[in-house]
Amino acid sequence: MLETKKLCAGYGGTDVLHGVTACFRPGRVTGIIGPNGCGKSTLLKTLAGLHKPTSGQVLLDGVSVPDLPPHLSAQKIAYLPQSRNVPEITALRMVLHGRFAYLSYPRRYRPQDYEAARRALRWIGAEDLADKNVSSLSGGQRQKVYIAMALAQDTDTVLMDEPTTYLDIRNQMEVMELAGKLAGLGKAVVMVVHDLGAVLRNADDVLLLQEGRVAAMGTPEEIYAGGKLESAFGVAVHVMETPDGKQYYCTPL
Amino acid sequence: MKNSQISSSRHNSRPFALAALLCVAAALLSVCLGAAGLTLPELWQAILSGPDGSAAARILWYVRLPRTAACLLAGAGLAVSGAIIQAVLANPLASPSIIGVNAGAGLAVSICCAAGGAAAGWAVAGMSFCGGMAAVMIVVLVARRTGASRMTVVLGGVAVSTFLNAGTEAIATLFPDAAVGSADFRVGGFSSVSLARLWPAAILIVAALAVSFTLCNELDVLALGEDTARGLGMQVSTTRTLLLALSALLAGATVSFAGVLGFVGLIVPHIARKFVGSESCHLLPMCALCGAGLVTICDLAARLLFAPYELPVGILLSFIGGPFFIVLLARRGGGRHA
Repeated sequence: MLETKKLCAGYGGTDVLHGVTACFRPGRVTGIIGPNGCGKSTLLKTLAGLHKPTSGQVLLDGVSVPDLPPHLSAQKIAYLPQSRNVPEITALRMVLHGRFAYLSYPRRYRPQDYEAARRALRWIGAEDLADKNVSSLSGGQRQKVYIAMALAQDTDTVLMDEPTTYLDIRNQMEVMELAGKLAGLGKAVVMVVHDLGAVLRNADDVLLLQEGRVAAMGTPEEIYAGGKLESAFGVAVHVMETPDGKQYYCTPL
Repeated sequence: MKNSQISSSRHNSRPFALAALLCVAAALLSVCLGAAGLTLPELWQAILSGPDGSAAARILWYVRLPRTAACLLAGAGLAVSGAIIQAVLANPLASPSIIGVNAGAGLAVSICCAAGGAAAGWAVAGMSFCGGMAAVMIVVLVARRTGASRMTVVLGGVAVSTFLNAGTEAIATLFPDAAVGSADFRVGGFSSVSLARLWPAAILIVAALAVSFTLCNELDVLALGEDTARGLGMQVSTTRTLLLALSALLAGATVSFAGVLGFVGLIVPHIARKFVGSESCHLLPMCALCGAGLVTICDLAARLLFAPYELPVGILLSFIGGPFFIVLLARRGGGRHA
């Protein structure tokens, strides 16, 4: 299980996170929400071991993540950053790079790596994209290829920073669905998402960050009932029972 | 290669075969043609007789072969250096000459020549590498401190290049006896290539090429962006420095015998990309072949066009490279890559 204890982290001597204690359970999708600049991306990077905490701990099954060498943390935690380049390589090649951490110099991908990459593409339903150049794909297809890369990385934890931003509504839904399927494989899926309604509808757990502190943590129902969303975002949040389950929507205060 | 059957069918081996054929043809012509032409039977005999045979043999072994080898090595070295720099800096407009590597290596060679007279080949090649590496490090540091937009890297490189070139010019003026004053050195050319200069650089270039071919997955992963690369378990700054050092080594070693040859490192990667795409495991070997072929052909043209006068090949390459660069700027405009 991935957890943080009194985690502080920041840039250039100024902390952005102030004592974050939280846990991210396997088999569940945890949505991290919070207003702009509250430290969501910093938290995700620190969880991935890419950013060193100033104090506190990030533990994965009791092992300190910041102390792991990069290739070992990459074998345990996959991380999809917010800014994603558009490489001019085939989708299969790109998914293959998910195996990067498992090889040492000189890296020559083995048959089992090709197999893992093809399996990952098949799993997300994008087999037909294997030989297409990533730069020629649509935004939604690219995002799926990135997710396939994370899957090929074969980690217990998958961290995604704003995976649905810039996508149209159907692709947003598909990415959310894939996140759920990843959790179904027993992985801990952690994602930063701005769409409050989508998070409350799709996530199993929600972590509300406000000014670098945990304002609330729990299931979507608990978060909604706790009433912290209003003060954090400055909007009114409502719930409506529909034939398709609970739907959350926001109105100005 | 077992990967080729798995990777997309688009990357068949035809472009490679064509480029290799081009290289062999260019090399053969470069060996045979010149002020004194060699026919194929003469060439064969000269090869068999060794360097101390007939006049033809001496021309072959002491003039044509070193020069052809220098062309091939310089083209391959600069082109691969350019491809690496473009990938590491994620900037299609970067190249050893734009980023200051050539200028740094040139200044280092100038200092060597002015201070030591006929310095040993190894010393020149080593100094040349240090000069190139220093230049690329300055540019990267400047770009880091100022926010590292892709434009900053290019502009910083131009500034550093100008400064270093001024140093080379100053030395050429103050020490007129040093070989660096020759047009051959300042724009790049092969008329004064000697075996003594060539072979240390040749070893360095071949070794650096071999190492860079093993790092193609690293190059591709770097191109996914810094955060993604780190997420995949790469030690980004170490890898980046290593790759830049390799490209400085390739360009620096080339400058030590070919002078400050521009544009090969810029245009060849773009040509090669048209044929085999951007995957480094195809792109780097293709760059090496295309670069070697292009420089050899250009040098041949530079020798023959105005015979008995000889144009430094750098001038010819600039005539081709200048317009090409403008076309590139107009077509890309930084848009897709900004």
